[in-house]
Amino acid sequence: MFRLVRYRIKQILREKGLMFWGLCFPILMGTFFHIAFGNLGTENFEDVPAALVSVSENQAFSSYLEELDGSLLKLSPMEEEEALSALKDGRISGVFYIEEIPSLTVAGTGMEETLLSSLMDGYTQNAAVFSEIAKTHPENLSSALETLTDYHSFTKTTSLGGRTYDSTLEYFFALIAMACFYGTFLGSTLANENTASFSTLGARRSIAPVSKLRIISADMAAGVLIHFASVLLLLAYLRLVLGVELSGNPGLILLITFLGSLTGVSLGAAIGVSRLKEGFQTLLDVVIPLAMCFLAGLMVSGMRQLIEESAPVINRINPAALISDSFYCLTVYEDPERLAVNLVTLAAISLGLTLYAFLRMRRERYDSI
Amino acid sequence: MIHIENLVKRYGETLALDHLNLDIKEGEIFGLLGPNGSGKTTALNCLLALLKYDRGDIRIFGKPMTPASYEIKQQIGVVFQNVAVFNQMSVQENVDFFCGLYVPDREKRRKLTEEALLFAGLQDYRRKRPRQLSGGLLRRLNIACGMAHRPRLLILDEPTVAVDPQSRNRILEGIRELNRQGSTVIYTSHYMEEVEQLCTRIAILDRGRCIASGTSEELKSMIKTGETVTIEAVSLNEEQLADIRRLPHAFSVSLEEQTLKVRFTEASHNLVRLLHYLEEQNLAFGRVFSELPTLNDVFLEITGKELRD
Repeated sequence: MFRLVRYRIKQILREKGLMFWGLCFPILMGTFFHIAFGNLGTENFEDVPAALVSVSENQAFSSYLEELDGSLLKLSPMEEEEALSALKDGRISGVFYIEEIPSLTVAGTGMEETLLSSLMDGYTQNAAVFSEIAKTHPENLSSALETLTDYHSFTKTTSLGGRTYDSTLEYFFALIAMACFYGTFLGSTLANENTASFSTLGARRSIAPVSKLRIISADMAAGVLIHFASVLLLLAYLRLVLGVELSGNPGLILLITFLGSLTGVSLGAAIGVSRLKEGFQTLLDVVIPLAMCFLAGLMVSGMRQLIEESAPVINRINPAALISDSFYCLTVYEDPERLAVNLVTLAAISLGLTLYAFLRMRRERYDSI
Repeated sequence: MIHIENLVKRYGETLALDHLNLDIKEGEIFGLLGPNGSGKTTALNCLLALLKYDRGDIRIFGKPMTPASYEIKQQIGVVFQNVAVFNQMSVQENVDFFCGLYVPDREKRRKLTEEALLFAGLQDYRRKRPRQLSGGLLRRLNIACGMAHRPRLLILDEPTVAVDPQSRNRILEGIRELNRQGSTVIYTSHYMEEVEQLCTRIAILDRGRCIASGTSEELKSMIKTGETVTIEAVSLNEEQLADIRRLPHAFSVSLEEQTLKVRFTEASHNLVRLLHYLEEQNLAFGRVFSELPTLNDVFLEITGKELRD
């Protein structure tokens, strides 16, 4: 048995196609996700250049802009004509007018203009308060303005489990689920090489005096072991190289990954014994995991929530959603009961698929070869 | 050793094996000869319990053969028509892997693997991957994987298809050697010369039926043809053709594109008589051949068609 597993491991490790899809492709996808939106919310913007045109006195607004100068804005006092010319040339993104009712002029709708508008709105909504403070307690105006410009300290997205929710995590969790399901290629290959009607290798193994249970068990053990190791490498890459937040009990992370890998390989084995033509099998190996990962939110953010609202049963039986949700339970929600249900469901699915594959392969005589 | 009785196998409407009966004795090199589609491979797949069949009884070593007959399988080696090896493993690893399905003992397996590599002339290629081997070497690896465990019964299904003459001779000599060492061999081919050279007994299959069986000599003695004389580049009129038909022992005369072919029932003095007649008639002619009957003649006489078709 050990010899069968050893040879299978050797053979799989040398199969470049299987190793690419099982290991390299998910790592490439992870890197792509990281480049595409891994830094969302943490970008360092350059200070936005804007002109300051003094029309009349407004101490509160002047102080407000002074607070922002050098931290978000790069303000230059100008005459109105010069300011409009600079705006037209694109040297500045907006013109702030200091007057009793302050105003802002922008020439576009880009990110910098949006930032200027939101700063202007922020002031306008609190203008009455600031004017009152300037009149009654001018010495406190500075600290009042500071509280407005430092709004980040008052708002923070947190989960029920008390941890920060990062929307990009959804992609990475779905990516891990997808990586688990790239085991379908491996499972199909192993099943095909045990099926006499599909390959001569299958015929040669079928006539050997070794029970199918031993051969299939050895193949599954080797396949799951290698695929599990591939997904662990992906996790290590996401955590250590890309810095994706994968906190939580390491033992449970290993368990989720193991059950995910087992489900992926056994799904492939079930496809492999289906006696469909090779091209159609390959199509299923690609389409089924993609469909499951699509529903789990790999391609469209919020898809899982949408399914949860409209057809929650899909999330309860979709293995990719179960893997993704298990990671949420572990790293975001801290919901052990839900995690346990997910893991039991995954184990049941993989067991069912493996049993089906085994029953189709054992002691088989074929109609045609 | 092997008993196949009234074996019937259908693929839908097509009757692949039609009440096939075969008995193979221990120590034989038994040839299954027949054109493509005659049922040779189907018969072997039924024998190995890979294929379902509609009717019949198959016994190997006196016991019924089923997919779970591990005791019987332990004593069988098979070389399939298509090469069945792992491309990701080296030549030596492949032989060791397949041998290991039969021989769990590591030391014994190491010795057998070494012997199989030597037998197939692959000892210098042991570290190569199958993709790096030529077609002939690949076939030899396929054979080494099938026989490394020294089976009591070795089944070879067209092992020399697309093999160069050097490899073919080596394979045939290797099979004889295995037989000398005690293996019973079942050998299928549509190359009649190969079967004739190698096999101690032959069954000729056509449309899923065994149409004749016996030694090569027994099969040839079943037919009318004793000798076939062929004369090229000769022009004959109808009267001369009729004279040739009247020669002693001549039973079939044909003239196609100036090539005269005369079949005689006995194989003595026919050529001399025929040449003497052509001299008398002052007829010029080209090359002359005289052939004793072949298995193709046997097949032709029984089925009315060429084995090569």
